[in-house]
Parts: sequence; C-alpha cells; structure tokens
Amino acid sequence: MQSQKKNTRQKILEIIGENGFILIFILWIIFLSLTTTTFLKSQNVFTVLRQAAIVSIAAIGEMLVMLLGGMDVSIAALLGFSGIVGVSLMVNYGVPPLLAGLVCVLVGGLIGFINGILVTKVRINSVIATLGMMTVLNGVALAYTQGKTIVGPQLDTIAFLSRGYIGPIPIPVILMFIFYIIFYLVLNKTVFGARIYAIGNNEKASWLAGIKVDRLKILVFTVAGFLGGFGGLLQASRQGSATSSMGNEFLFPILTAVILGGISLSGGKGKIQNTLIAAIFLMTITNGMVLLGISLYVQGIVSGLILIIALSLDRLRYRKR
Amino acid sequence: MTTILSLKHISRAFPGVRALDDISLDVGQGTIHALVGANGAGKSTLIKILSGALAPDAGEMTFRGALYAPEDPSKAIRVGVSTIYQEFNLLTLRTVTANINLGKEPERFGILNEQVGRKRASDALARLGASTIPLEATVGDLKVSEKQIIEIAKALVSKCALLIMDEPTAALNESEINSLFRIIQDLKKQDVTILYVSHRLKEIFALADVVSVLRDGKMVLTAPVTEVTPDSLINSMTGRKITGAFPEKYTVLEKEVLRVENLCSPMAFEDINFSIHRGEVIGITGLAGSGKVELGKALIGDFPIQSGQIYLRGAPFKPSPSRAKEAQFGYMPEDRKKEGILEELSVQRNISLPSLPDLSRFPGFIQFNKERDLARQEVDELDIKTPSLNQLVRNLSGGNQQKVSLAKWLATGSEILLLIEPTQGIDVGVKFEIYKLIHKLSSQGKSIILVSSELSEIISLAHSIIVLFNGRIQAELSGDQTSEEEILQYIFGQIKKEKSHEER
Amino acid sequence: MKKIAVFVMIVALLAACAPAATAVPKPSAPTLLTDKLGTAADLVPTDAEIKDAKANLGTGKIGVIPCTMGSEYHSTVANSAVARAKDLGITAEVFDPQAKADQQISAIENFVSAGAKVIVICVLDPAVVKPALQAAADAGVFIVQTSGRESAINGIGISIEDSDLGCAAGELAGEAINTILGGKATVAILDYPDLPNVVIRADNIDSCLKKTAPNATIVGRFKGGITDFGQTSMENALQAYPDIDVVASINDAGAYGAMTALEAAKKDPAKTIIVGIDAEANAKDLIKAGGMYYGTVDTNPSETGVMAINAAIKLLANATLQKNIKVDVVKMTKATLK
Repeated sequence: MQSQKKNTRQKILEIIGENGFILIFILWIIFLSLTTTTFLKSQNVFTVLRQAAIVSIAAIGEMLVMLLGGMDVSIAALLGFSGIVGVSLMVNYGVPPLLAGLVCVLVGGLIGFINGILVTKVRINSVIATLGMMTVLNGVALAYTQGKTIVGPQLDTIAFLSRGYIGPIPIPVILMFIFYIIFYLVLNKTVFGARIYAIGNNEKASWLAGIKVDRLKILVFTVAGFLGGFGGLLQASRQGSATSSMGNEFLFPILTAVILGGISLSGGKGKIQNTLIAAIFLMTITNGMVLLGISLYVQGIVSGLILIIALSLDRLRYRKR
Repeated sequence: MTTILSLKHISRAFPGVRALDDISLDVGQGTIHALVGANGAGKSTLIKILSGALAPDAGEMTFRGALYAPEDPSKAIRVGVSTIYQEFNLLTLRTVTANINLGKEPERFGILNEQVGRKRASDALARLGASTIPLEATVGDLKVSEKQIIEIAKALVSKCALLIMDEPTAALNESEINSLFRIIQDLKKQDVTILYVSHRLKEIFALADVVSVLRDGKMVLTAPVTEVTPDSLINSMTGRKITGAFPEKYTVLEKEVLRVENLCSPMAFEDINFSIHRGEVIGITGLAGSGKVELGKALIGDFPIQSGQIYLRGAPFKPSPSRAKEAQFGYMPEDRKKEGILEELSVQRNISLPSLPDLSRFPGFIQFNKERDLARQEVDELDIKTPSLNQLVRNLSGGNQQKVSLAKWLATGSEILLLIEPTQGIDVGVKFEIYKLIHKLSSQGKSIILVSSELSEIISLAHSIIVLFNGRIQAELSGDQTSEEEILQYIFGQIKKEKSHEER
Repeated sequence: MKKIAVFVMIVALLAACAPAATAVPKPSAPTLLTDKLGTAADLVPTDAEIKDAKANLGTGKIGVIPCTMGSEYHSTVANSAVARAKDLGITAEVFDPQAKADQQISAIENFVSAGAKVIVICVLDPAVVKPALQAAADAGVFIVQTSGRESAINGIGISIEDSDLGCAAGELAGEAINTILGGKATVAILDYPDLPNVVIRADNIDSCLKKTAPNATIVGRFKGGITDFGQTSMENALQAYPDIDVVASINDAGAYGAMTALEAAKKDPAKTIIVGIDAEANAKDLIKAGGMYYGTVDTNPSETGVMAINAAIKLLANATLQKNIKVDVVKMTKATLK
C-alpha cells in the first residue's frame, strides 16, 4: 500500500501553488515602491483600494458560484443591468434613492435566481445558461437605453457610496472589507458555507448525505445576483450615470480575480481572502503601469505577462499526478 | 432474534435481462449477514435497491417492522440504512470532521457549532478504535483503510442500524483487514446489523453469522455459516450450463507466438508468466478485481506495466496499440460501444479502418472499391447481418456489432487476437457463432487470448486456462482436463495449488 | 416575292413602333463626381428622385451598420437614419456590431442576402471590412460610408474625419489653455487604442493642441473610451501627475469619468479644462453649466443620419452627386451654445 503522506518538497510546492500569485504581488509592490515615489502614498493606496471595491464585491458572488463547480458569466451584465434599473428609477421616475438602491439589489438577486433555476431545474450547464442570460441582459439594456446615457442630479444622493469617507477611509473600501468579513464568516463558519464546499468537492456524496443540492445551488446563484446588483449600485454611484454597456468591462477582472485567487475550476476549493488580494493585485497592475508611465499601447502586453506568470504558479500545485 | 430487514418477492429487470428474480431474504438484527454470488448474479442490483438508489419492479421490503421503500439514498440513510460502496463517497478536499458530519452539521441558527462537531467526530472514531486519525486531516490524504473508517464513522453518526458494505476489503492489506474485522465485530456488539457483500470466502467464514447466495438473480441459499462449507457455497454459485455441443478443439502448433515474463503492474497484477503458441486459445479468467482485464489491456498497451517483459514472436515487445497493430496483434475490447466500434460510421468504414493505409493510393486517397471488397469479404466470412455495407454500426444488434469489432482486426490479417469479454450482453445464438469463429481462427493458426468470466465458454474454447486471484496466477489448468467447479475454486482463491501438480 | 416584302414591311413597322414609349433614356447608374467636396444641401433629393429611388428599391431595404449602438453619438446617427427613411416610406434596418469589425462583416453579408440595396455603414476598421464591402458592391449594392471619405466603394463617403474631430478638440483645448490658463498647462489625453480610427483622433488632438498652445506639456495618453476607464485612468494619472489641469478626450463618455476623478481631487473648476468629442446631450449640459467641462466637438450625428439616407435616395435614383461629402465639424463651447 503506497504511503500518501506528503513530503516537504510537495508541501512547499503546494503552498507556492495555492498562494503563488501573492508572491508575484509582493514582488510587484516592492518593484513599484522602488521605481516610483507615489505608489505607496496613502492617497494612491486608497485610490487603488477604491478601484478594487466594485470588482471585488462582485467577485465574491462569482467565487461562490465557482466554488460549487460552476461559472457565472452574466455577473458583469447583471451588475450593469441592475445599475441601469436603479439609475433609471431615480432619474426618470423620481424614486427615492434608498428604494431605488434596494430595487437595484433585488433585481440582481432575481436575475441570479433565474440563473439558478436554469442550472438546476432546466439542467443547463452553468456557463451556457449564464452566457445566454448575459446576451439577454445586454440586449435589454441596449433597447431600454437606446444607447443613451442616463444622468441626472438625483444621482448626487448616492454619490457618497463612491466618494464618501468615514474618517480617512473611503466608503467603498469600508464596504469592501465589510462584505469580505461577512462572507469569510459565512463560508468558514456556517452550515451554508460548509455545504457549498461540500457540493463543489463531491456533489454526489453531498446528495447522498441528504443535502438539498438543487436548493442550495439556487440560493448561491441568487446571492451572487444580490452581490452583483449591489455592485451595480456602486458603479452607478461611481459613474454618476448609467450607460447602456455599463458593467461589461468588469467581466474579465472579476473572473481573473477569482481564478487568480486560487479557486479550483472544478469547485470545492478556494479561500475568499485570496480573491480579495487578487482583486487588489489586478488594480495595482493598471495603477502601477500608469505611474511607471508605460505607454498605453504596451500596457496590455505587460499586464498579460504578469498574469501569465501568476497563473503558472497556480499550476504548480497540480503538477504531480 | 428479531428480523431487522425483510425482503419479499423483490424483482428487478433491465432491458434484456432479469437482474433479480423473486428475491426473499430475512436479515436478523445484530447479525453479520454475508451475501455472495458470482459476477452478474445480481449483487450490485440488490445493493442499489437496498440503499435506495434503485426501485424494485415488484415486491416489498420492511425495515424495523415498517414498510421500507426509500425514494432516494438520502431517505434510506435517514431511516437508518447506510451503504458503503467500493468507490467511497467522501469529500476529498475537506477535513475528517467535515466529512463525518456531512449533511448533519451541528449548528446554532445556521452557524456551525464546531465544538459539537468535533466531539461527534471524535466519538465516532473512538467507537471504531480509530482515534489516531487527526480530525483536521484532509480526507484526500488518508489511506484507503482510513477513508473506509471515515465512511463507517459517517454511517454511525447517521445512527445507522443496518450497514451495508460492498466488497470492503478489496483495497486493504492484511493488517488493515484485521482492523476492519475488529471494528465490524465491535459494531455487532453495539447492535448494528451488517450486510457484508464479498466474494472472499475466507473472510465470510471468519466474520459472518449467516450467508446468502445469489445465483443468476435468484436467492438460492440462506443458512448459518456453521452449516455450510466453502465447497458447498461454491456449488451453489456455479453458473448455468449452456446447451449445445461445442466444436472440437484444434491441435496446437509448436511455435511460440507470445511470451510474458514477470509482468507486474502495481495494484492490478504481479508475477505473471505464461506463453501462447500458434493456433492456441488461452483463457484468462477471474473475478472482478482479479486483474484479468487489466492484464489483457496491458498486453496491447492500454494499461500501464511497471516491470516485466513481453516477447512477441521472440522479439521484445513494448506494448502500444499502434505497435500491436503493426505486429498483427488485434484487440476486441470489453466495452465495444466506447472502444470497439465507431457507432456513427458505416459497417464498411469500421471494418476497413485499421487497414486504410493499405487501401489507399498515394498521397492518401482511399480506393473505395478496394475498401468495399474487403468489407464484403469480412461480412461474408463472419456472417454479419446487415442490410448493407453502408449501414451505420449503431443500428446493428449487439452481436453483430461485436462481430464488426472483431472483423476489423481480421481484415488487417491479425495473427494474434485479444478478446475481452467477447460475448457479454449477447444472446445465446450469436454467442455460438462467435465461438465457431474463434475455433475457425484457431484452426487457421491464429492465436487467441480470451479474457472472460463465463466459465463454460472458457472451458469449451480454451486449450489452457489461467486463473487469476488478487492479481496473481492462482492456477494454470488444461481446458480439457478441468471442470467449472475446479475453476471456481481457484477463482475464489480457495485452494492454492503448486504449479507442478498441474502440469499437462 | 410580294409576301416577303409585306412581311419585311410589317417587321420594320413594328420595330419602329415598339420603343417609341420612352422619350429620354434614364441613367442606369449614378454619376459620381469628384471635383469638389459636397455639402449636406447637395444631398437633399428632389421628389422625382425620391419616387425613382423607391421604385428601384422595390421590396428591398436599406441596411444601417453603425460603429456601435453603445455610444450616444453613433446610436443617434443610426436612429436618425431610420427615422428619415421612415418619413420617406422606406424600410431601414439597423444591426449593432458592438464596436467589433468582424461583426460588421457578418452584418454586411446578412444584409446583402436579405435584399438590401443600400448599406449605410460606419466603418470600424477599413482594412478588415473592405473585402466584405467589395463583395457587396460586386453584387450591385450601393454603399454610403459615414466614416471617412477615402476608398468609398460603389457609393459615396460622408466623412466625419477623425482627424478633423481630433484637431478640433485639440484646438479647443489649446484655445482654452491660452485664454484661461495663460498658455501653460499639464495635459492628459484620453485615448482608446482598440480602434485605429480613434487613435487618429488622439494623434490629432495631440498635434493640434501643441500647435495652438506650444507651451503646454502633454504628460501622456491614458485609456478612456468609456466612463469607467476614463475615471480609473484619471485617478491613476493624478497620482503620478497631480498637476494635471487639462484633459482632452477622444469622446465625451471617457471625459465624464475623467471629470469625476478631477472633481474628487478637488480641482478648481475655474482652472481646470475638459474637452470631449461627440456633443452628447449630457456634455452640452455640462458645458452650459460652466464648470470644468469646457467644450466638445459636434458632428451633428442626427444630420449625418439624414444625409446618409438622402445619399442613398440619390444613389438609388441614379442621380448625379459628389463622391465625397464633408460634414462640418463644429466646435461647441459655452459661448456658442447659448
């Protein structure tokens, strides 16, 4: 019978693999602090964190879905669509901001719920189902806005969500940390979280153990929708407007943050704190390149290279098998 | 003694086969009840019905005096019937505690009560004498025997009253098996009833109180272990006889065609030595898990070999399907649907596929009339029933599909053929046609390696028979001088005979 | 003999009579002149031309392929074209290529097989789309290009030259720098490298701004194009260059984001200048309000759409018209918007 105890080398490889991108992140930070005078200034740090807020909050939802072993590619379109609904209610229909914001989040949750139904009851693969949803949402957004930007003074009431401060800390940053703390606890300390990991690891075993797998999946998609909806509200506040294609630019960063953060694509494995670090890392890449004065035309290559290196380290943990 | 589980007239059929036929069974509470049977006897179907994964077509079950008809496995578990399959159902990425408490996590308003959870887990492990397993260990890192203990612990926490174990010792070593027995006996003392499904007679006699024998879907015997002997058990398990005379076997020619020396593949087979000559049919048999299929596949490169040598016509042969084809070594796999035929292609193309290079003219254009002739030749030779050469193989009957799978290698002029379970799932009439074919091929000087679990088939066709048990050669027998009963004995690992006693 | 003579006479008479109905032969193809740049007025069709066009169009339609429907400017062009067609009683359909050149290829092909006789298109990437346009032209379809007058195939080009737009924006910014900031400024240009035509705008902003305000310093080009990018880029840029007081953007959308960032950095609106392109409604409001947003460049998208359909009419009616039509670029500031 072969021993299955891990030796030290394997353990080190696994640690690097699971957290490899953090090493790259640290190297990048060191590099930037040596080559620029502005990177570590508190104003810049808060700028980067503020930029990370929306991506990282939506990424929590994406992470939950991916922990189950699925993927939600509609999250960005959902974010944008909810934002459009919220802004439209405020500007075109005079709905008070609190109510409009609530509707914004609820709309996101509803879309997430539908995604969940498509995946569990209609039994469509999650990538395909959410891809379809994304196309629908984009189409509806375009038809409703007719390509025009929705903007109005009513949006000033929600400006604090993106520009406000509590003490020295920007509100979006505070929100980001609050959400991450909450969901850290949910994933690690609640039955709900334990079962998400269980289903992602072995859906059949979970089902055999009496866990209502379908119900839980629907709930996860709905929660992801709520988070996306809230992200839409934050983005509406940040832009001070709603544009027809709003949110679409987030799909790549959200997915990248989750994958870079070490979520296993087959589900059941991943630490939420790493998703947060990955999201912040992504923002420091764009920020860093601007500070370094790297030409716009080369930025794509540079960020691509950094990501490839970081993702390759992720592969290290799957090497021996 | 109270009966904890009672089956009355349970039947279950699948298209084409009656898996369970009017099964009745009573299991006494607090007993260790063994269930044995040969391959295909219906054991796994019965387990699935008991565990709630399958519903019976007819009949009734009662458990603890109440009607037992679980709609799905989770309901069965809730009622107190837990099943541990050979492939475990564990969360390999999670901790021991998480696994043991899966589905019944102790909580307060949705928040995990980790303390209670840990206590439950450690209590369960203690009951099993396995407190050395760390609660925080990742289950994927544990040994198989430890994983099995986790599965049992899971069942205990579900307060199971009946524990069904399917081939529990398949992947355990000697000392782990002893530990398992201790655990099972302890469970019995704690009034847990165990249904122990296994083909290892030695264990059954060591452990069980009662044994039931399944044969061809029928329950043929239920008796206390003290009232049976291994031989009488084997007798009850013997398969049915096929009517109809088998054709004469042809004489084997001298020339050695294939020789295997010290072939070894960890966890599958070891120390395999045999040789086969022109015109010889050699049968390799054994139970599921004995390594026969793996050995067969290893010969053509579909299964890894760790050490040992294969000589093909005297020259060292490193197995791979393409090298096998070049060496005129053809292969008819067990799972013909997945591996033997291409359903969406025509009969003609299936048959000609490996031969296409020979049917083509530079730079690669297929000469269709040549292809057609070749296919027609094989169809006639093997009497494949198809409306036309262009018929999709998907539309042929199982037996004819099997013939197509065979034909394609014959078309390349294979001199050595490896057949794995060639008549599985095929009705009697067509089976005979395939047997006649095998005889004809042997008379043409071709050599055939027949891996099969059908004993009558092996005895009738094979010149020599190799019986595998647990990956090792248990016996080498002569097809003419042995009987089904004798083979069965070796199959069940009963009598270990020295090779020298069985020289032809 | 006599019979043959009679027969020949009858045939001759018939031959003489038959085509007598039409007086003057109508042209079978439009005549395209290239001696000067046409104007919007040149394109207005006469009633006769409208009638001929509709007759030639028959059951066919006009396909409209904007650069994208996701920006207010382009969607306005498309929507006004459709409205104008509807007024004239013709069918015009829009396909949104979502700013992707390869989608435009599919759109062209689909429209041609669906029976479009004219395609109005804002070409995203001339190199990529040209073969499809040529194929359509070979099939007899007229093409009205609303983006760049070079290489208009089988039709005319209504040009809104990106170089003109860029230069106008650059000049606007330069003028503002001279009058408000005394000629010296730290300038950031918002660019969008994904689309080659847009890069032309950025290049021209750069050169024309330098020509107008030679003492201004351009610190770099940053990614704009949409509001979020403009904002993120400006937030980052302000960290590296906190003195930025002028932003010239290739479109209004990106400029909005930059403005949010500048406001958050508590820049003095009186001493900060933002210039965009597209003359979106929101931009005009901001300009009139008199804050940081100084100006924008109008290409009159609604007029462009109408011109495109007018051009289509003329082409269908086989009229005579200029091959290259220029749309005037109009600078807009608070002063001009009163």
